[in-house]
Amino acid sequence: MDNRNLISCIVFLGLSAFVAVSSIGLGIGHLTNPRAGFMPFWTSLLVIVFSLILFGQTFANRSDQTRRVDIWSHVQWQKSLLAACALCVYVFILPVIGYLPSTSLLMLALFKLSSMKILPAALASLLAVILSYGLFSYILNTPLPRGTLGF
Amino acid sequence: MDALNGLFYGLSVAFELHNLLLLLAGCLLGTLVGVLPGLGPVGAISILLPLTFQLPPAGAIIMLAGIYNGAMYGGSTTSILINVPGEAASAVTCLDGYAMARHGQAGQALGIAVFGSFIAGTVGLIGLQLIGGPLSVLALKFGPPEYFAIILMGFTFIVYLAQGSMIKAVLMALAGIILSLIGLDPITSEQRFTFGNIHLFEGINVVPLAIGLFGLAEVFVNLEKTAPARVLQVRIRNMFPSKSQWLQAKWAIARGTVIGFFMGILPGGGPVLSTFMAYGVEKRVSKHPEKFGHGAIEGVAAPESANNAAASTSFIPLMTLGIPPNVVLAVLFGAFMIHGVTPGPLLMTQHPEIFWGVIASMYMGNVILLVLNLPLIPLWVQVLRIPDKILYPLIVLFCLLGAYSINNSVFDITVMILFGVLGYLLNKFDFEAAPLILGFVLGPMFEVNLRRSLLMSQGSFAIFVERPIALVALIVCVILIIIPLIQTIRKRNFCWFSHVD
Repeated sequence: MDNRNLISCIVFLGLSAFVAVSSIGLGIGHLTNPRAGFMPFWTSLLVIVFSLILFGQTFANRSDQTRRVDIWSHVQWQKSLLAACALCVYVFILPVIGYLPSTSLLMLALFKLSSMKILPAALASLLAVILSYGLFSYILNTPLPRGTLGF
Repeated sequence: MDALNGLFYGLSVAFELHNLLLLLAGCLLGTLVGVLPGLGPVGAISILLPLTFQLPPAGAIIMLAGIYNGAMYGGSTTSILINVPGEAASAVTCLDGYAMARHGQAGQALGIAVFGSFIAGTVGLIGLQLIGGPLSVLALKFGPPEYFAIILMGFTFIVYLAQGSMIKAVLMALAGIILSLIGLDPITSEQRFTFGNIHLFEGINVVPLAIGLFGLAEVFVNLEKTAPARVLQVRIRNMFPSKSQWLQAKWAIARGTVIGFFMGILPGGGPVLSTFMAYGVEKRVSKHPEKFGHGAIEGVAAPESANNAAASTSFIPLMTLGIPPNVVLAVLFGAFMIHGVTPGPLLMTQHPEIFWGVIASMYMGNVILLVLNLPLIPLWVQVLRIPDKILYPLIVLFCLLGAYSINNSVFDITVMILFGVLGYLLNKFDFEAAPLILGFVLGPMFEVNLRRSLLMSQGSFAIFVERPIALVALIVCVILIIIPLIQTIRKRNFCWFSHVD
């Protein structure tokens, strides 16, 4: 049985149940006067229906040994997780310390995650940040975030 | 003034040296800015609009039209090279364009996109010139029931868009619709799923969503690969489509052009919807539909042609009725007003030099963009020679800046990252992102037109069968759904009977 589909079904069922309940709170209205909850309610019901169909399909194929897929082995998922974490931290520090320092740190982290050595990574990140700053700030007049230090 | 005389008059305006130089500058700048993901045509026109303030009206509008066309050409480049759509209409090009690039056929993909865009753009302009007026009158007959039926028809193309499980594709489309409902209700302005976050009042912007789902997710997927990254070897002599590829793509370009031509005049997601429909049609008529999503050249030719044809015909409601059919042309409408020109039914008589000058300059702009973009293909393809360990962090930087520059908001970067993680998980769990984008883009129009139709008919669904255009679209929907079902049942019966024999 493909466990991925089972997990997906559970997630879809949970989220659609939340949307359906929230939609009732918004007010569904009726056909002559649909209200704000009309569309999300009926759409979430459809999601529930199709999730159950997917569940049924997966359960019907539960004896199919070839469908088992281990999505986490033979891959370095930790790198992707670290990259996502680095981006999350970046979003927090960007408005605080500004574009130049925060993006330099982010690029350094990403180059290191890509297995680059420290010195070339540092040089590449500085170059990328300076060029991008010049292009967007001065040529395209995009006001990039300035931190508390003013740059 | 008849169409031919008008065109000659327009050419005389467009061929004035200063207007020609402005057109060239507009095409070049539009292409360069349009390549940057997130900026796209809207960003390109908005950023470069101040450059036109000191110019005479005709020259300013000609330059802006060049920027618009250039940005439309440039949007497909990042879709093909690095799987980052420049705008929503380029998202479909990612499906096969990026696959072609990974197979060492980036040049061919870029080449067919450029040629297809040129052919479709030129045909669209001929249509704009010859039948713009009658088409705009037809567009006025489209009310909420007709729009609802057309958009429902667009949704049925999910059947053909899906490469794997149909159920999963439908689930993704429905999820896209639910995501599109976040924000203020379009009719009652009630908050829906905003959780009090002021940034969500206007909903989620499609550009950071698309950049995250396609571009950032691709970076995450590639980062975790354990095989050592190898530099793509590209032979220079294979930069352009071969004769056999041309033969494969020619009908895709033709069909994409026709679809984009008619969809472009519809307000709202005309160009976006046309790309999905063109892709779906090509997959439907192809003798090898299994190749779609894995580098089928028709999968690049059709949506790019549809996109550019729609971009040309979307000028019809703007120029003839003064109604901008999409966000890009709304910005252009503002530019017209800034320069003292009011688009609409009187434009042709009050400012014939602008009306015909813009049309003629768009013809010339198409030629300029073809000449400009073809030599750039070998240059763009060199991007793929960059080692992955350098390329992917740069793609992330590209994505960040693209997402930020839409509204100069860090929130858009947050959205992009969230959808990047979601796209990575969707890849892991074998779900496709394209149906989600389709649902997200069409969801708001689908809801608004459904609710308006029900208000008009006081709750009766009969309104959708009483109006001829809506009825025809619904019949097409039913046919599009039934045909694959019948084919599936036939295949199962054939397999069963073969087994029995």
